[in-house]
Amino acid sequence: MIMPGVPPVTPIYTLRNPVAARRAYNAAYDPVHPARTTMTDPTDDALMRAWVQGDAAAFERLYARHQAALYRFVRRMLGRDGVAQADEVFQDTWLRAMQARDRWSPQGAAFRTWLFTLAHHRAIDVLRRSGREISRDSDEREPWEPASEAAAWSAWPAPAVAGGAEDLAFWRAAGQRLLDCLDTLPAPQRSAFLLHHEDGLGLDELSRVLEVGFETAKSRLRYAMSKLRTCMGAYLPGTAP
Amino acid sequence: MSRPDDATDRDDHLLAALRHAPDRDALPPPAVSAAILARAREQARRPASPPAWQRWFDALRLTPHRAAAFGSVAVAVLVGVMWSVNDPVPPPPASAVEAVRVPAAPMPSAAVVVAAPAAPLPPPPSAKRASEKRAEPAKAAPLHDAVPVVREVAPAPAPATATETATATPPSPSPSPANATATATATATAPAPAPALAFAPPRVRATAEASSGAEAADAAQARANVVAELRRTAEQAAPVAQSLSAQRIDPLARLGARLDAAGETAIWRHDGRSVTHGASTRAWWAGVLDTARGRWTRQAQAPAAPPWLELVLPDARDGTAAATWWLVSGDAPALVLRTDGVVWRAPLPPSLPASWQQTVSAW
Repeated sequence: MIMPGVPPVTPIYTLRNPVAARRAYNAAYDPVHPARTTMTDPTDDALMRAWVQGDAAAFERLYARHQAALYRFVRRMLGRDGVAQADEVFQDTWLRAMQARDRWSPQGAAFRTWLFTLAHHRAIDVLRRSGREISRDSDEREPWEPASEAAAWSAWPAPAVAGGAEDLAFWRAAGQRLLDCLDTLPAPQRSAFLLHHEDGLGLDELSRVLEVGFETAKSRLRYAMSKLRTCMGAYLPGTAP
Repeated sequence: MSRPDDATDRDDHLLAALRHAPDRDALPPPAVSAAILARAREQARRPASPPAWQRWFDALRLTPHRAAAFGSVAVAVLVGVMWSVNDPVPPPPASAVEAVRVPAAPMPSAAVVVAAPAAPLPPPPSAKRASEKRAEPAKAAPLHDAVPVVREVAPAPAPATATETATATPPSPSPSPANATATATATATAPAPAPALAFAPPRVRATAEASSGAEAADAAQARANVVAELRRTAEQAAPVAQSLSAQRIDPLARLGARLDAAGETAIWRHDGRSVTHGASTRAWWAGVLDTARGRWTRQAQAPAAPPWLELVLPDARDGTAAATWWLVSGDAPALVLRTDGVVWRAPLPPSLPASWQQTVSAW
């Protein structure tokens, strides 16, 4: 029984190397925010270290934690035309993460950021190989934006309100519309939007994952959001070009 | 309402649309997940690769020839480090001849005093540091280890000579012969002033170069005094050195031991007579030891004349003499000895051969 604020004392892993695993598990203890330390919530870094030390269960937990978000990211990056390759990219991303276990270091980027970086690179490779990315890379035109931001989404219901079945159907249709709009974006803008909105990366992390400068990442994100708003009909009739 | 210009702001409507997208609950196929997890379990069973240094050490351990090469290099490095840390050989003192030769350069002015670095006086820390910094020149010229300390002092009423400085270095004030030897030794070990000035600060060097003619004359006189003192010391030390060297090669030492061991079984042969080693022969033998000790010099061959005296020891089965003497009279009286196949010669006082002739004839 682990009490919040008290470092865990019971091993949770089945280990071949109990000393190293103990050290890895203790690393999950947050002395600044002890209340966050729970028996069931070790950090990604701790799980990765435990797996490197021989704990297979740690990797299963890590996989369960990130598989859905990563799979969604890969599918949306590849678009409707690349769904058939999503499984391959997804599997290859995890295999690369496992192959790099000797080189992996928690001093670098967070595990989640590192994992999405691998997936992004792999997806870009597939897109380039298929020839779809080349034609869209050059689409860096200045997006149209209305003079007044107040006009955006004025005809849409508030997103926080998710009441009846009617609203739910509306948002599901909006979601499908958004996926279609994502397909029209160049891959760099698409990955910037998905990583920022879906996976919660800040602009700093975004620039690291995309391996571009901060301003470039910010510009790609702004272009992506402007195009998506226009595509989604966020602006009132008559304000669109 | 949100603006994308803010790095942390996200469009709520786009977020809501993303959350309600048809693929929001998409998961990888079970077969893909199973394959990934199976691979992860397989890798978890495999031990993590050891650190680079451990892999390198294992590779070294499994290849004997590499291990041998590495061991050789390690030992060589260790020996080199030990050699460089310890002073390999203390610098030998400069000989008197070197001390005489070196002062050929102009002597420094009266304002510059060359302090003789006698052994009891350690060099000042600054000079020691400078000497350590000049490690390479010091190895090339060991004289520098004796640290030619050049100090600038206030001008004295009478110019201090090098001899005075060197004499003042030993603690004993009495001018005894021993002190004279010590003085000479200190002077001999003192480095030449010219190299000392080479390490002197530019200001001191400039002062030395600006010496007047009178000071040069005084310096020449000082050099002459040094040379005379050194020669005197060398003459005094010559007999002692000869004695020391002769003691190391005294041919009678081994013969005397054999004679003492033989006792009365030893036989002296002289002029066709044989005399057992007794009191009279022991007295003569003691006189020979005292007279010729330290004077033996090796000769190429023995005199052609018949021997004057022979000593036969009992271990000589065929009666061969263990030692044979010739007594040389005339202008250069000497005692010639052949023992163990080597011929030796010791000069004698002029009156001694006749005395020994009488003594031995009386046996």
